[in-house]
Amino acid sequence: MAQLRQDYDKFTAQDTEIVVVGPEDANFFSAYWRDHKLSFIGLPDPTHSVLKLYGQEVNLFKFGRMPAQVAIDKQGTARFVHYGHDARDIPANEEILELLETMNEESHASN
Amino acid sequence: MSRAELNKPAPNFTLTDFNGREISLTDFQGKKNVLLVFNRGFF
Repeated sequence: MAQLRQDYDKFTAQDTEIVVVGPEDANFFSAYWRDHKLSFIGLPDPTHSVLKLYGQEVNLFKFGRMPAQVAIDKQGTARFVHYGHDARDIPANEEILELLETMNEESHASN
Repeated sequence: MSRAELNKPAPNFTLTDFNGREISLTDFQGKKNVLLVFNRGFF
């Protein structure tokens, strides 16, 4: 989360909205967002409906939910899909930002 | 278990954010890219 917050402006510059989905409830999200001064969208999913829809893995031997990231272009197509194998398996922001830049260039070229 | 697939339409969903605002993935179509992040929990 800290990594995303730090580079939030770079994602915004790439015409990208960061949307975080988690299993906690709205009260928890609200307090966490306030305490950490987060600017992106936070979606509580206490019934795990979207977490299941996207197949986020739960591995009890690796301390719970595995992180996952999906980058979606303006047409609604998933252009980057990463399911972490352990809690620290999170792609670098630079890798995602580079892809977003390419996506935007393609989008401009086709318009 | 279903999963998002590369270069396929991302499954749409609607959830309410912690401010009570309804957000659908399709809200961003034609406007913005979306980086969807599934956190491992904030603990």
